This record gives sequence, structure tokens and C-alpha cells, in this order.
Amino acid sequence: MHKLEHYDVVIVGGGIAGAIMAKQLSHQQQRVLVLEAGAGDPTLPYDSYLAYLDEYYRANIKVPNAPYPDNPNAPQPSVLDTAPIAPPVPNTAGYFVQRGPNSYGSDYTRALGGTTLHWLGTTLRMLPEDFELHSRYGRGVDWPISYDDLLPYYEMAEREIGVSADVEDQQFLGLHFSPGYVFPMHKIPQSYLDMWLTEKLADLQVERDGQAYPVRVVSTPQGRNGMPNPAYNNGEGYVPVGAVGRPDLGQRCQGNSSCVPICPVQAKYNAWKTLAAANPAYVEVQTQCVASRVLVDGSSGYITGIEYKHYDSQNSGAYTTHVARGTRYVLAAHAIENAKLLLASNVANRSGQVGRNLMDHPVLLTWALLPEATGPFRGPGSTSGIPSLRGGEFRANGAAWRVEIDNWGWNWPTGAPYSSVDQLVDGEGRYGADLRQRLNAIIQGQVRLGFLVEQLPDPFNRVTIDPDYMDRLGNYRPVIDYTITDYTSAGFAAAKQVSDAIYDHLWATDYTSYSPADAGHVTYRGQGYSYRGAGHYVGTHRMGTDPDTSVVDPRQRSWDHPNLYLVGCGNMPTIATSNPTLTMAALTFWAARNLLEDIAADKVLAGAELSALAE
Amino acid sequence: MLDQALKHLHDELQKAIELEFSTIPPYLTAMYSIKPGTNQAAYDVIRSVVMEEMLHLTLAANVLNAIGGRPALNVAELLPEYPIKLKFTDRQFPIGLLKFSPEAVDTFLKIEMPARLIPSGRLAGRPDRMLLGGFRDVDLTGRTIGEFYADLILALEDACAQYGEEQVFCGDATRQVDTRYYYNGGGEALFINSLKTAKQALGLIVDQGEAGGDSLSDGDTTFGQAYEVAHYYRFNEIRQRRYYAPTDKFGDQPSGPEMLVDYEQVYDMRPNPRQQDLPAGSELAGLMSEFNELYSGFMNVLHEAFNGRPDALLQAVTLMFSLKYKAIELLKNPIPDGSGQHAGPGFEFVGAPVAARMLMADGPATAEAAPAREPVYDSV
Amino acid sequence: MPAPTAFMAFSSALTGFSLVELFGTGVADTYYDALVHILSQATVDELLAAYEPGGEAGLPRLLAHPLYGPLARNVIKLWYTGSWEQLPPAVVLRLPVAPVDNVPRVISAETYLEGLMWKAIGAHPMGGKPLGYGVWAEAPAGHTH
Ligand SMILES: Cc1cc2nc3c(=O)[nH]c(=O)nc-3n(C[C@H](O)[C@H](O)[C@H](O)COP(=O)(O)OP(=O)(O)OC[C@H]3O[C@@H](n4cnc5c(N)ncnc54)[C@H](O)[C@@H]3O)c2cc1C
Ligand code: SF4
Repeated sequence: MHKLEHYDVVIVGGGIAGAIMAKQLSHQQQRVLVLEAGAGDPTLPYDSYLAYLDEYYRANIKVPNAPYPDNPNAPQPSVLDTAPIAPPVPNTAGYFVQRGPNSYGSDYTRALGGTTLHWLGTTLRMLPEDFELHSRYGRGVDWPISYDDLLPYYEMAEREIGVSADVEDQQFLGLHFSPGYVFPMHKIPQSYLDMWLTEKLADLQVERDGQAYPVRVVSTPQGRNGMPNPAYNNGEGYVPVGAVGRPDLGQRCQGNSSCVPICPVQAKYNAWKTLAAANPAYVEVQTQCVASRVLVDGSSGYITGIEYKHYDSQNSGAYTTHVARGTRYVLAAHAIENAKLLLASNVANRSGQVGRNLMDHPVLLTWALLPEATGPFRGPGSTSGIPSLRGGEFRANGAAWRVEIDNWGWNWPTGAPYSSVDQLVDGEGRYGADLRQRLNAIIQGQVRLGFLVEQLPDPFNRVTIDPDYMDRLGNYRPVIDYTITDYTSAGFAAAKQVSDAIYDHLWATDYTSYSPADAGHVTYRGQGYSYRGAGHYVGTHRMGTDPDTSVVDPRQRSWDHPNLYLVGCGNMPTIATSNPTLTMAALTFWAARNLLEDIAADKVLAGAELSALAE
Repeated sequence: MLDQALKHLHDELQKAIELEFSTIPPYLTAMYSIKPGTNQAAYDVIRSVVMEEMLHLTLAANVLNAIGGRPALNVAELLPEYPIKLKFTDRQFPIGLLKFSPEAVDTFLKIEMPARLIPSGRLAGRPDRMLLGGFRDVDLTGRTIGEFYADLILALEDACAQYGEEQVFCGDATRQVDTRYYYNGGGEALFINSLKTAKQALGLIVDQGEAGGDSLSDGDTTFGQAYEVAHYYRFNEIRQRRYYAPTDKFGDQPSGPEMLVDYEQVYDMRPNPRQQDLPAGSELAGLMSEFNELYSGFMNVLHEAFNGRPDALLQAVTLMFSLKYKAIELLKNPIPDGSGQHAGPGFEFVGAPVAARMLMADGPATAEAAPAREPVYDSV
Repeated sequence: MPAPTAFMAFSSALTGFSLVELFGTGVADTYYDALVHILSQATVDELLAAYEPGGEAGLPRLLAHPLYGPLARNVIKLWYTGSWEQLPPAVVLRLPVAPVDNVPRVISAETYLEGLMWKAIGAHPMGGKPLGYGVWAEAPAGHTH
């Protein structure tokens, strides 16, 4: 439980958003309390990370949350709980109550460090046009800020996460960089498959809405340690950040090929690194403290405290209730949990937008056998993508997407290589040298693409709360309503066509198959498509210029409560086609700056009052 | 004469490289013989020392390159064939490839013995020359590795005083292996271009190996590492099955928390594994020769890295991974002679890479004429 | 218990991996123990006895056997994946297998990392035995173009 009676800032959530806040504020001598719902030793001992690794090795089904044990006092969704939904009967199998009609396919992690413990680490910037979706294409909403406004904060986020990329590769579709800018580290080597595809697809063009687009394979910026760029920061260079508690480990990505669910050496960024870099003299982290209510002063609108439930053990539902108080408050508990907390407290919701506009990147997977061996199951999950169709006029009519080129064969869609072993041994009766060779041959040809399809903000895609559905500590379980609209399905259809064109061009044999029995399945113009979740929860407390249609102002502060900031992907008005965390981290740096500005302004105010008194 | 002084320094630094390198296979062997999931603390201790030895190797090579020398790492005559002997003026002892065991730990302690722990008392006067020769056996004129480096620093200082620093530090800067390529921990690979940086590097080697003054700490705070004692004391922690506490002083036995050490949880490797001791033509012999090939390839790449292609170090790191897996595969295999003993990594150098072998085949005269210490193989 | 020679020979024939490769995993004994634990010593002995006379040449017949076939396939999968796969009900009916022992599971962290399928596919277990920085950019071993 917390130590001080009063903090300068109380932060809810110890994921990347909360960690950035804690780091930025503590280095400006603000006394910060971080309340974290999940388990975790605040001193971040390396052994406790190894325990996660061991859990992963021993997990029979290695889903993203496999290393991070389910904790009934701070439950988390699991992709194993998703299933087709038959409204009005909700799917209540896991933590979520999914009312559908479509299944929301993503998970997140509730443990100190949050979901970046198992993120992949893709760190793309949004395109400039993504900030103007409405004015350009009449879809969704515009952001209240532009790409250029965010540019300096992107740079801060890229430093914090430690991004490896080459600027030369990233200048497409209007993406631009500060003069002379380089990323902290050079790009992560592209996989052999990437290079093979680059060559084979060089002359392929595809059409969308009657317009031709190249199929250009481009290296992907990643939050994992590569070779430092000596030109970084005007020649200062960059020192990669290794494992927390074992800084000699993880200085470079070693190709463990398990970024999701866990990087064994922490070459991949996770929020522990930012927590460890906060100023320890000013930060207090308390775990096993689940925020349950935001307390507000009815007349002033100021937030007065965070009520939280502290439990001693995950094995028991026993808890004690406490209130943490501070001058200012930051909610950084993840898009779903932030919205839930606000709804449960009935705060910050003048607009009625809290919990609405929930988005994800439904991922359309396609998989095939290539005529040549390209060495899958080696290296980071994805080192390149095809971004050439991330933007364009077609967005007026259908969703854009980015193609992720995967380095792990059919692991995601079919569970290879396990499934391949089963197929050969049980299905085909193979054994001995023949089995060994055949397995090599089929795996070596496996290729898998993922199309991360855009969704639009939709007020009916939302998280709500319902007293009928509570968790063990008596906190609300998220109730999810979710529909894949035709706009997104049009994106699926276009994606599948492009996938077909690519596989044709490669002389690959397409094995993609979608079934109505899949958890996420839609039919569009007579064709069925199955999608997975990307883990990109976006939109539940969006920013805007109008307090009637948005939850936070452009400075990321609640319209309704002057001492409350919200951070996380919930602030993003649209999702576009980039994995959201880099943009969200940039926004969080911006929020930290603004919060510090508020503090400074208060000081000036207080000083003025004092001098008025003195006179 | 400058030339002679430089030649002398080159020889000494080459010896330093051989010395630093020669400890690595024994440490690795002990480390890899530990069964997975056991003796984690001891494994980590040995690993931390190995990482630092690799750094020392890199630093010694950087100093040698900085003064215009050419480190040699792929010449059979210069590479250890175990068991080797470490000779000091007043003592000598064998270093073998042993499984993780009390004997192995004792050997490690001997290797890393700080000066003041040597019972024979006072320092002998500093000899003015290194003993020459000593292929495979590493001769040291000083009594400890620390003193050996102290001599080296003095010789560098002398040379600079006499001939001017610029004359001595005449090496090609592009041959330096810096942090860009060397990153696997143990500390920072310093860029060396002056007496000051050279002394820093050699000083770091000594500090990590032996602590100075009354402290046991290696004084290394790079990477914000936790309290870490110098090599000798780290091995003593294993022997005493207890960590040192930060308050422990020179002469104390460790008084920190207990360290679990279980010598049973180790593959029972036959000492000093060699190719020739495995049944010829057997599968196991095949695995051993794969290991030795890989090891030789590794040494060749390492040699390239220190001879103008620092980026080759990246490849060396990946070869280290493969070496480790092969070594462990050997260690897990019982020798099929009913002895119950297991095979292990031989670390036997089987030759320069194909290109260099061809070079020798083409012109044996050239190869023979080349002085043994000149690298036979250069990056092509 | 040290894995007997018969078990090693059987395993080698089933998996297509040599004895040195099998021993090189370091988990041969672990697998033998697991089998004895799950299936009973008698069943394991029976299975090995069914294999011995025919040897490798007899494997197709053994694999077609209603009882030995599924058991042998589980032995293959044990070596390939490091996991125990649930035996089908028809087999369980004929064996003294406790339901708790027949749940699908990874035998141990070590067996996961030693699964032969990773070696067979020219890769490394996901999350362990990494190949090092940038190796993924190289052509797959044994497949140079
Ligand atoms: C499989 C997967 C892969 C992904 N890959 C990528 C990728 O490649 N690129 C990318 O950009 N994004 C990726 N993401 C998304 C990314 O992980 C999230 O955007 C990011 O982690 C969100 O950060 P956050 O700090 O807002 O939330 P989190 O990281 O989820 O952290 C929230 C923290 O708050 C705590 N908390 C929750 N409720 C409470 C409460 N009531 N009281 C106190 N504390 C609470 C949680 O325990 C947690 O520690 C991925 C997600 C998944 C699931
Ligand atoms: S490939 Fe491996 S080392 Fe690299 S980030 Fe992923 S898990 Fe970590």
C-alpha cells in the first residue's frame, strides 16, 4: 500500500503509458505514485522475468499471455476464450463479456509492465494523411493535431522505445522526418524471406479502386535492439538498453523468435525498461493495487482521489480498500480498463463518448507454401512489411491496411510446426528419416502474410459495464459490443485479392482457409473472411476539439476535470494502419509535457497570489 | 630503436591476447558442463568472467592494433592445446578442460590469483624482458596476470617517453573494434589511439581480474552492474558456496548470502576431450570434428575481426552460439565405451580457412618463410 | 532411470535422428521415465518387445497396430515436440493409464527446448537457443540458392 498521504501525481497503471508518465514526471522532481493492478516486484528483479520465461517454456499452448499467469484479482482476456457469438447470448467464457455480434479477438496483460511484455515491437509512425481521414476521405474523424505537431514527440518515443530503422526506407506516402534525423539504431536486418520477396515482387502491381499500386517490401521500424547509429542525436550516438537487472543481456536481438509472447533477453523493448529509468527518489510503485473508482469533488470537478483494492495474494479474493491522493491524476490502465474505470466512477463522460469507438486491427491472415526454402522460424516475428497500400484515394470506400510479412511460418494460423508434425505423423503415417525430411521441406516453404485492416470509430463498438458481471474483487468485467462494418470488410476483400495476386506471382500454393467456426468470421459479398485480433485497443476515450464529442482535449487532459489526464491508445480518434503504441507513446510524452506545464502554471499562479498577499 | 621497441611491445601484446584467450575454453567447458536448470549462480559467475575475458581479449587486440601490430588468432602454433601450462617466474600449473568441479574451480582460482595472495612474499625485481617462445605454453615473466600487464604499461610508457606518443600509436584507426561491434557485455570496448586510452584499457583488464587496495570490487559500474567482485573472488564465492558482502574486506572469507552449488548436477565429462580419443569414424567423433571445425572457423572470423574487419565480430558472436550448442551436445553424449564418462568440446584448431590453406598449398615457401607470428590468413 | 539401449534404438528408428543426436538432447532419460510413468513399465517393455524382432523394417507393421501404433506415434511426438499428446480413448481403454497422466502437456522446460522438430526444420526452438544477431537474413542451412 502507498506510503505518502499526498503525491504530486497519482498514476493508475504500470504499462508503457504509465511508465513514460512516471519517468518524465519523476525526473522533474514530482512525487509520483504508480498503482498497478497486477503482480510484479516493483524492484523488477531479473529472476522474476526468468520465471515468466519458464512459464512460457512449460505452457502447453503458447498464446501471447502464456507466460503471464492469469490472476483472478486482476483478470485479463485470453485469445483462447474467443469464440463465435450468437446474439443475444454473450460469450462469457473468459474475462470479457462479448455481446458481439462479432468477436473482439485481442488480449492484453495485467501485470507490472503491461502488454508490452508480450507485444511484437512494431513501431511505425502514422501517415500524415491518417490525421486527416475525415477531411481527405470523408471517413471517421480528423485528429485535433497534425503529424507535424507530433513529430518531436515521435522522436522522443523512438528514443524511449529504442527504435531500429533507417530513415531512407521510411520516406513513403508523405512520411517525413526532421532534417538530418536518424533512428537510434540502424534497421534490424531484414529476413531472408523479406529479401526473397523484395526481389520476386519488385515488378508486381496491384489495383485498388481502379488505381495501380506497387507491392513494395519495406523494412519495418522495430522496438528491438540493433546496431546503434553513431549519427544519432547529432553524433552523440545511442547506447542500447539491455535486460532490466541484467544490462549485459539483450544488447542486440539474438533471434530468439519469441518476441510474442516473451523476449528471453529483453532485446525487445518492454515497459520495465522505462520504469527502471524513472527517478527512484520520486517514484513509488505499488503492485496488486486495483484502482476501482475515481473520486471527484462534485462542485469543483477536481479529482480528489483514487480508490483502490489491495490484495495480498492472487490465491485469495481478500482485499483491503484504500484511497491514494494527489494534486493530479493520470489514468494509464489500458484503453479498456481506463474506460471501465471512468464509467464505474461516472467521471469524464460529459460527451457520453467514454467506452465508445473501440477499434482494433482485425488481422486477415493468409498462408501458402512457396516453391523455395526461405528459412522461417528464425528471427523477430516480422522484419518487413508492404506499406504501399496504407494510404490512397480508395480510403473513401474501404479500409486501408498494412501487410506484415511474418518470419514464423504458419505458426499463428495453424500452430506450426506442431500442427505440421501432427499432420505428418498422425495424418500421413510418416516416421524416421522420411518424416524428418518431409517436415523440413514443408516448413521451409511456409509463408504467412497478415493484413492489419483499419476500422473506423463507431459509437456502437464499445465497452460498457454491467453490475451482473463482476470479477472476484468486485470490479466490473468489460462488456464488449463489436461489429465489423462493411467498410472494414471491403478492406478484407481487397486484402484477399492482393494476397491472391501475390501468391500467384510467387508460384505459391495458397493454403488459406476461413471457416464460420472461427471465432472472428464475417461474410461480405458472398465471401467468408476470418480475422484475428491484433491487440490494438484504440479509441475508448478519444481526444478532440469539442467537449461534446470527445473525452480529452488536444493536450490529453479531461475536458471535465482539470487535474485529470488520460493516456493510452484510448485517446486516439482513429486507428489508421500503424500499430498504435509508438503514436500513443508520443502522445504520452506530449501529455507529460502538458501536465508539467500545468504544474508550472499553478506555481506561477501560487507565486502571484503570494506576492499579492505580501503587498 | 623505435622498431625494436615496437616489436617488443607487439610480442608482449600478442602474448596478452594468447593469455586472455587461453582461459576462455576452460571456463566455457566448465560452464557448459552444468546441467540445464541447475547451478544457475555458478553458471552466471563463470559467464560473467568469460564475458570479461572476451572484453580483455578485445582490448588487448585494440591496443596491439593501435600501435601498429597485427593480432594473430588463427595460427595453430599460437593456440592452446589443452592441457596447457601457465608459467610464471615462480610457479607454473596446468590448465585443462575440466567439467565443473572443485578441481576446475581451484584451477580458475590459480589463474586469477592476485599478487598479494601469493604466499612466496615479495615481488621479485621487474624483469626487463619477457621470456621468448613458448608456443602453446604461455610464459609470463611477472608473477600474476596483473603484474604482467603492469610491465606492459611500463614498457608502453617507456616507448612513448623515448620515441614520442605519436610514433608509438601509429596504428590504423579502422582496425579498432569498438562498442558498435563489441556489445556482449563485460564492459565497454574502448577505442584506443593514445597512451592514455591504452592505459585505461590495460588498467581495466587488471581491475576486472584483480581488485586493488583493500576492496574486493572490480570497480566496474558500466551498465549499472550490481556489486561485483573481481574474478578471483568470484571464483572463491563458488568454492566457499557463499557470496561476498559489500562489507567484506581483503583477507575475509565471503559472508554474504549462500550460493547453491551442486557438483553432481554436471555432465561427467572426461578431462581434456580430444578428437583422437574418440573411436575413429564413430558418430561421436563426427560430432567432435564438427565442433572443431566450427571452433576453427570461429577463430578465423575472430582473427579477421581484429585485422581490419571489425564487423566480422558480429559473425563471431553468431558462431559462438553454434559452438555452445555443439559443445553441449557433446557433453550430453556418453562415450560409448562403457566408462559412463561423457564427451566434451575439444577446442582443437584444425586449420586456417580454405583460402589460407590454398595460399599455403600454392606457395609453401612463402608460408614457411613467414614468421610464425605473422598471421597466415588475412581478410580477403 | 537411464534409457535402455532398446528404447534408444526404437526412438532412433522412429524419429530419423541418430543416437548421438538423441543423446545430444540430454533428455532421453526424461522421456523414458515419462513413458514408464504414464504407461507403466509393463506397457513400455511390451512396446519395445514388439519392436525388437522386426527392428526398423518392422516399423510399418508396428505403426499399423491398433495399440502399438498410437503409442509409437506418441513416442515420435514426444521426441519431436517435447510434449505428451493425449492418447485417443480407444487406446486408453486398453491400457492402465491414469486420466491425470494422459493430459496434454510439456514434459519440462528442457524438453520443450530440446524438441527435435526445431532441428528438423533447420531452426531453433522459439524462445531458446537463438542463432544470433542477423542470422535470419542468411539463406537457410542446406538450402543455398
Ligand atoms: C499480442 C500483441 C502484440 C502487440 N504488438 C504490438 C506491436 O507490435 N506494435 C504496437 O504498436 N503495439 C502492439 N501491441 C499493442 C500494445 O501492447 C499496447 O498498445 C500497449 O501495451 C498499450 O500500453 P498501455 O500502457 O496503454 O497499456 P498496457 O500495456 O496494457 O498497461 C496497462 C497497465 O495498467 C494496469 N492496470 C489495468 N487495470 C488497472 C487498474 N484498474 N488499476 C491499476 N492498474 C491497472 C495493467 O495491469 C497494466 O500493467 C500488441 C498487443 C498485443 C496483445
Ligand atoms: S527475435 Fe528474439 S531476441 Fe529478438 S526481440 Fe524477438 S525474442 Fe527478442
